[in-house]
Amino acid sequence: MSVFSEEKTHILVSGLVKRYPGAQAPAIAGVDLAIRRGEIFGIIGRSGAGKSSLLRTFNRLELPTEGSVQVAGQDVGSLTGASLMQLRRRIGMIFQHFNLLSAKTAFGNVALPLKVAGVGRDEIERRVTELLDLVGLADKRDAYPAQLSGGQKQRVGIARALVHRPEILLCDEATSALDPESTDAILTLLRDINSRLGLTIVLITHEMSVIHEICHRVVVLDQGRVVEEGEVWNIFGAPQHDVTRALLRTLQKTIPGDLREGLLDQPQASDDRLVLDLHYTGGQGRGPDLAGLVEALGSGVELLFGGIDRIQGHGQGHLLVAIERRGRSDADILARVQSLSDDVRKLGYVPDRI
Amino acid sequence: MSQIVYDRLIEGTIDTLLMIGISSVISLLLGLPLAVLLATTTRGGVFESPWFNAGLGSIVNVVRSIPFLILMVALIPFTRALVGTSYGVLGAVVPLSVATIPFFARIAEVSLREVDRGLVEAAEAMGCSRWHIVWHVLLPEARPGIVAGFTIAVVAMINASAVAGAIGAGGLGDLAYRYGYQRFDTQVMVTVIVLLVALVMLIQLFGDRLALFLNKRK
Ligand SMILES: Nc1ncnc2c1ncn2[C@@H]1O[C@H](COP(=O)(O)OP(=O)(O)O)[C@@H](O)[C@H]1O
Ligand SMILES: [Mg+2]
Repeated sequence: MSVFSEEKTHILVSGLVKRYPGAQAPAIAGVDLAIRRGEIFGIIGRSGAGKSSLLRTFNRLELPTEGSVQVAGQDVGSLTGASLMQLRRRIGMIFQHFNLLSAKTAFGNVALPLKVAGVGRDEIERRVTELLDLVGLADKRDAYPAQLSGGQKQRVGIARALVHRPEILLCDEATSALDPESTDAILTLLRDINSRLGLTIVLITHEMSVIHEICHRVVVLDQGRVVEEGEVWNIFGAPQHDVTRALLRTLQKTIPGDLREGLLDQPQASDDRLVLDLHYTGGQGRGPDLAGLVEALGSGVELLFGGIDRIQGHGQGHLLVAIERRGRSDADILARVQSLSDDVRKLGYVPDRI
Repeated sequence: MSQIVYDRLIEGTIDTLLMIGISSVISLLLGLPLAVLLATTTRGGVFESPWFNAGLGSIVNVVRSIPFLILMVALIPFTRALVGTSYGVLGAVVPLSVATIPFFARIAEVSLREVDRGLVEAAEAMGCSRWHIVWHVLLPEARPGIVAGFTIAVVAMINASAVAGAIGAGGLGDLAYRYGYQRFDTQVMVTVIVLLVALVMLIQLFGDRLALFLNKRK
């Protein structure tokens, strides 16, 4: 396969099928993916889409039924015993519910992976201290998980996952049990780890905002299949699949109620204004050119609602504008703004004053 | 109370404590590995082996379903072969242990099984072997429950030791039987009851305290 010959591919999934015993439909029904070294790769999809099943084949918590997963060129499915343990030490993992040992302190939890690998006591002391420092929990080393907040528990989880200096970090809904503030802090930490340590991060989430915040590329899964894959700004700017659109709806600001109710299907008075929805996908370096709008339409343009978001340097979003018609036909106005955004839709009419 | 009775009470208490002490240690040393075997060989366990589990489980169930008095009598040849006598403290230790091991193992098994599956998974993901998981995850996480279960088992053992006493094992049970039942000596009877109640309360108190101390989940 051509992708594989590329130096940059870190995890290569080919023809992956995962069928659980007793289940009718396969959880993964033929997935091909190439995750690049050093990127933050997102996996999204509805609940039950197969995200966890996919992720768990990467460190062989699940054995592929068909197809293969290769990590840095090594076929994960063929590993057993000691070589499997070696692989798992190269891949850290964090979980939605943290999965910390309640009977061990923060220090004990982070130390465990080293301890079972036979690392000496001084080395453990040094490494665990370093990791607790990295995640900002130096002062909590003797606290038990029950004494920590959710965000702090996940930090311990991250420290534990990184203690073997892995090359890959897998995150299964790592922020889903956290409040927005802790989520932000954890995402910042992950981004920091990615850029400082050069780790490849694969993360599952059902929160679009998480993908938006830190991922470089994203794959959308549905019923065990890839329905869409690509750069985050691309997928967010121009989603092709219904599932993606449905997932993205949570991020979009809906038109405020008063505006929606005030919209008329047909103009009632001659000075009723035309309402257009200008969509910017962020492609071709085209952002919302306000001066261009005024130039194309004259001065009677009012910005009613909307917003532009920046993802990976691409501005994208929607602007709702009310345009004075001044005797011009709708087709004429549409033609004038056509080249100024990626997609224009006519929503209706509003009175002169709203 | 005569000096003789007084001496017998002291002696009986020491015998009972010895019986319980030795049997407790044996039950812990053999019951805990049995519990680990039962808990880890079930479906989804780290040493999954349903047939082995079913076989072992049946043996445990058979032993547990035999009433202690009958078990003790049935074990007499085995006890003689093992410790040379079926009387006295040593003679009681064998049936007491045989009865307590499967009982304690079943209670400890429940605690081990209740350890969150996610913790086992996290341990696997960090490169733990199956023995690492038993030692570093299952046993420490189940420890408060195991201690509480062991307390229950020891208290149940005190109960059984009185039955054992009545058929030749000595100890407080023997005294109560001889003075209370055969001679209607209420004073000795009441003293024995007070001693037994105190013993049970002490063990329960200590067990509860220890379980609470070990529980870091709160
Ligand atoms: N261990 C398992 N045994 C049987 N079925 C499973 C198991 N794990 C997941 N499944 C099933 O596989 C499908 C995909 O699950 P999962 O990968 O957890 O999805 P997601 O993480 O996207 O919610 C679901 O239908 C789920 O019920
Ligand atoms: Mg999941």
